[in-house]
Amino acid sequence: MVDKKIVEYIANLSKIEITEEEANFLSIQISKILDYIDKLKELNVQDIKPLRHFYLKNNVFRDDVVKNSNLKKEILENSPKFLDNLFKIPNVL
Amino acid sequence: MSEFDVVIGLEVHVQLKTKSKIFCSCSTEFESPPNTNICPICCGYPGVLPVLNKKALELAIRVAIALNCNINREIYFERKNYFYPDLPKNYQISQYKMPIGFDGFLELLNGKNIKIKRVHLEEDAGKLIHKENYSLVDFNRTGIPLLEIVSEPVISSSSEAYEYLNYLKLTLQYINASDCDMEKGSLRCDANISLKPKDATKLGTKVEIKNMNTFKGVVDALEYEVKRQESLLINKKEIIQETRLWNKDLSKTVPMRTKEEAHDYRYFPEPDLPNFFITDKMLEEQKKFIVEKPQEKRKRFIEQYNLSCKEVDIMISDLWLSNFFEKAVSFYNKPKEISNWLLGPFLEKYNSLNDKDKIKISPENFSKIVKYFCEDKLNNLTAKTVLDSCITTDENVDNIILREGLSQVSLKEELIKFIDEVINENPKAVSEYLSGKKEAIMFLVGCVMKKTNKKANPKIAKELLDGRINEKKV
Amino acid sequence: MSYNLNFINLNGFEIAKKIKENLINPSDIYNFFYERIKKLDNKINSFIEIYKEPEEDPNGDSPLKGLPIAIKDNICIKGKKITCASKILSNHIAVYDATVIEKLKRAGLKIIGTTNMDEFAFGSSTENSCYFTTKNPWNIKKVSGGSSGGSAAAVALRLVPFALGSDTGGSIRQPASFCGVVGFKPTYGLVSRYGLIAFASSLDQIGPITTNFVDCAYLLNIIAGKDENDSTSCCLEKFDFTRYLNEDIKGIKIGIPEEYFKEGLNKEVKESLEETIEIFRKKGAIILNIKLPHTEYAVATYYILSSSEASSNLARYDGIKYGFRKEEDSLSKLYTSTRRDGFGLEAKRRIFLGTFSLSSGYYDAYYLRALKVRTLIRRDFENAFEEVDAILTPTSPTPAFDIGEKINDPLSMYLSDIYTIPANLAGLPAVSFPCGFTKDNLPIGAQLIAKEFCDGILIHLGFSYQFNTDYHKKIPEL
Repeated sequence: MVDKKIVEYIANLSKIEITEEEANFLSIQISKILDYIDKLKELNVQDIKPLRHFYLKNNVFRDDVVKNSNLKKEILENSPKFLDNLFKIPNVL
Repeated sequence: MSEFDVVIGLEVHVQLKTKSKIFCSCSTEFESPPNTNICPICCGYPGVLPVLNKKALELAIRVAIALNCNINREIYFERKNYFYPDLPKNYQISQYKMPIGFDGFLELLNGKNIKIKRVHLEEDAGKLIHKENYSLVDFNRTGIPLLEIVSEPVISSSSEAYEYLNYLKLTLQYINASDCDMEKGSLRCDANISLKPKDATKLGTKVEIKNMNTFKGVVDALEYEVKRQESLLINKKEIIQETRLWNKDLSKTVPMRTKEEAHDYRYFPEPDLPNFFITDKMLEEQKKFIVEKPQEKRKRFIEQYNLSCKEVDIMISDLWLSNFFEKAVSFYNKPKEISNWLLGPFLEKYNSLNDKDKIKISPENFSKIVKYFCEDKLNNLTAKTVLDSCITTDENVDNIILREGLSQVSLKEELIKFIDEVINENPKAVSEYLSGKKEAIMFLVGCVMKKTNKKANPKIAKELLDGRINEKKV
Repeated sequence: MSYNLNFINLNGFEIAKKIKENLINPSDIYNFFYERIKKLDNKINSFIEIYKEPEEDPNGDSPLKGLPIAIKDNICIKGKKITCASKILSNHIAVYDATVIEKLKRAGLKIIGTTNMDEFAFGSSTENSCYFTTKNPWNIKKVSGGSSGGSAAAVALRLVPFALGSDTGGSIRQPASFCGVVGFKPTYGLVSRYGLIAFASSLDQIGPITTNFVDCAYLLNIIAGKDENDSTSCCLEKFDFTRYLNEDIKGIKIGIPEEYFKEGLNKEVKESLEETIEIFRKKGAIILNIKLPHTEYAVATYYILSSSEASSNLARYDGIKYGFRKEEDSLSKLYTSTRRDGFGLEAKRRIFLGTFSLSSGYYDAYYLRALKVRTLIRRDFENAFEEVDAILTPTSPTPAFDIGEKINDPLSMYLSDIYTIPANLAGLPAVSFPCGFTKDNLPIGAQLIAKEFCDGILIHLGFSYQFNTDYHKKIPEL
């Protein structure tokens, strides 16, 4: 049910390059998994609310106070490529 | 007469006026050196988590109230997933199904309500700098709180669009929610525009316009686009649904070069943030900041103070200025004169100082200057001198006049001796005047001003000169 | 040194006591375990990095002060290589300490190294690591379980007194059961996730892996607590899990859900659980039969939700800000090549599954539906906890399986998490503890689940169980 074309669409959305062989292989595996997951269709969930959070009752906020991070240097140095304090990437266009 | 109706919707993004970013404590300061307002959270480092800035939510609520929106009392954030280098997590925390405000409106001057579909909170992305063979990324701007305000497609002309943007800007500035400065990027605008045959119900193909970086750019781009689409439709050509960029150098819109893939954003509720409850208390707190709307103020100023539209438009473009005006009028009830001085010499000084906090003069003190001018106690020049002295200090006007001896020399007795001196010292001008050269008197007035250190009342000096010269003629 | 060998028979708390009483030197303890790791770890490959000099805070203090602890490779330790066992983070040096790491350092514990795991915690066998597979110390042909296989195996072999792992669908409990140790997943929100490299945000929790419940209680005391950096953390005002180190469990009601004892459950595991039930019954607990009717839908629900969240959480790995980068001429290729080369197969599979479930046209049928089924699963537990205080189940349907047995059959691998997943979906605390051995000397684990914030009940029941049994005292011989 998840054919090669869909797998290629997904590969593009998730920005992972795959070969045609991999697309075929993943299509079979993912289809099998989704067949199993179709089990969920047995249930009637029409009036059920989705469960997203558990135990939070009050608003969780941060005050609008500036705290300068002392990690700017490390952050830039962790970058595989940087130039003059900016992250360098191949031309976008 | 055009056979088409223009249908415009505007999508505006404003940066909210908070000190720190929306989900981390980095500074939002404008124009810091690149990558100096960053931390692991706004750079999308592994393992980090967002925590919502309370002020961002409060300002968002404030704007939603000011724009007459229905407020969702329980809101949540969602992830908008797409890859782009200015988006460190490759998803943007935004709102989709449950925006803070919806179904609001902004009233234009002619009474037309521009419906506002939704108002929602999201985080800003970073900045890209494009070089020839590579690009550079600055994450300073990533995570600055943004409010997205989307109008319904009910704007019908470029001038309406301009007015909508202007009053949206003023409304937000009045409630101190945002600076709304397009030059600084704290207000950005994209438009959707389509044409349909007059009185048809079905909307035409919609084109998205981006890259309009000034209010004028918005107007120009929309006008160009109307003409472009009209021309296509008249010639029975198809309008392609696309995104076009306004090119101000070429004065036209051009299709975006990058192949626009239809984005599948895969919105889903943000699991790292709980739902937020907008309590009655929060609403009450924010309502306190809601002031008279700029449109209402404009109407009232025209009616109440009998000022011209032009004067009022300048005044209402700055809430501080209009408040100052009204307070000054409460001390000296001559609105026209107060307005003249406010929009003239005061505004000139105000703009040159470029910093509201430096203006210390009280409305009362200011009104005194105007009063003394009107009562001939100060002349044009001496009044300006007094204003310059106390605009940044609020020194009492009476003190300045006394100290500098600026009291206008109006009394005829006082002036007469100067008049006589000038007449004696300038026989050529006097005879020129007598022989009919009217302008010569202005020269003589100038001499009197010089002699009196500008303290003479020029009107009276002129009268006296004329009188005395004619007297002497005889 | 004359006191060497006793360390592996003492629990961490006891060793710490001896340090406090000045009977042993903390640096001797550290060196003891460090040398033991160097000598024995090559047989099981549980560690990725080992630190000759400990990461510690000299002013730190707590009842566990001075002890070494191992950390799963997905918890950030400032200045250290933290990779999630993935090539895409192979050169990532964490720039900050996770909240739990700060707490451990402040408590005087010494971080001795990082442990192996399935890449990004995707897996139940620690075979998906980009480095190597961690072998089960009880039988090196078997898996150690996953995804916290490294931590569980290291603790089982007494290479460290204890370790931290993370649990999203059973990643602490299942390897704990395969390796014969205690693996604790706290109530969702009890322990801060700040600094835990995210897999599935609404399911992940950090928890302790220990040999016994005393150490577990003391460690929980250190790492639990509301964190202002984690908006989903929420905690009890005051807590002291050591209060529950009490042997008397008379009157505690333990529920046995019939759905966890159906076909598919290994015979020896079943027998071991029956023995465990008897032990609790003899100690005065009341045993009741309960139903958790939506259990069979848990695996499907979990794989949709966790993969969806993971697909989004892993989008940030693009070679621009940190980590592995495959240089290319265009931005588009930079993304796709980096992620093609940086992620392993299981990671790709999960990302694809998750992206699919969230994509336009499928969101309602998959993601939204799964969120709703999650409510039903949670409700089952809410109903059960009206009748009982804790629920007892096997941790895994089988003991440790062979290395290579399930790696090519993802669905079969996913189904092995069937007993552990429901507690994550419902946000409930759960623990696995050793309750027996197969005739081939492989450990068997039992699982206890409690109501939210009743983590103490699990400590209580577990401590009582270990009072009268010594399965947890057995050490594998390599």
